[in-house]
Amino acid sequence: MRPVQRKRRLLPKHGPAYVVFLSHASADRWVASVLAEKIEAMGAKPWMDVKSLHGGSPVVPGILEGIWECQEAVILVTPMSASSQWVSFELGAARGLGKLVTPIFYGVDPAQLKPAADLRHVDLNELGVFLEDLRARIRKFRRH
Amino acid sequence: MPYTVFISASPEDFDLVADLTRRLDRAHIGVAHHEADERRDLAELRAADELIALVTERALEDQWLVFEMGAAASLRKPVTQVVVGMDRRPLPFLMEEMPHVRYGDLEQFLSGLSSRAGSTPPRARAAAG
Repeated sequence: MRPVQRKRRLLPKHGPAYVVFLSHASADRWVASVLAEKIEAMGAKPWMDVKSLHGGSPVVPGILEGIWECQEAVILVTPMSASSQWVSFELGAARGLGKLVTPIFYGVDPAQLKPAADLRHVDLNELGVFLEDLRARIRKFRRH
Repeated sequence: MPYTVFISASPEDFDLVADLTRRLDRAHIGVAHHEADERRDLAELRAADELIALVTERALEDQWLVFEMGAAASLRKPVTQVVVGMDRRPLPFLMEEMPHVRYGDLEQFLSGLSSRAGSTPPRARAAAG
């Protein structure tokens, strides 16, 4: 693989961005986009592989760039994504770096995603609790 | 500390793991591998220098294999898949994009690995008598 070149980024108006990497299956892109909007409303910058990658680019380097940049990761686990290699790969990439990872389950027994079974998980229907916790983490991040 | 390779494989491919371990031992390369119930602990993977993933039909269903590939990749460790069989089906998109070699080309790959590890390749030792 070619080495990934990190791009210079200007600091946004309110300090560095709190980036949340959002892992999801392509079939769940509408749900993922709604989740991204809610994450953005909390003051974070969502990173999604569909929106953030330029068409035609190799996928893996772009995903790794997003994982390296993020402060935490959210894994959307649905019947479409539970068996996705991309989701397991992104979960491994985030956990390998010790990032905070939150699986959000919808219609899936948490035991179906074995590498996430030990994590504190959230049911999609109880997203509000996760979002409030996220808002608190962002405020703490910006104070430092 | 010797150069160490972490082997990621389906628990059902224990014979392939044993074969790869023997080959790496002959090349004086350290080997780390997890049994089925240890795979969440990434300490040994983090301590290794690179990862080899044994890709078989059984391994395609193994969430931990791809999980470990992701962990190694994010830690900027070289990741190489050794593809065994799979002649009649293409690799999944993710695996196709990442470095891979066929089992039949394993000795050539291991020769390069030995160079990276700074140890003498097995064939060079045999030629030297």
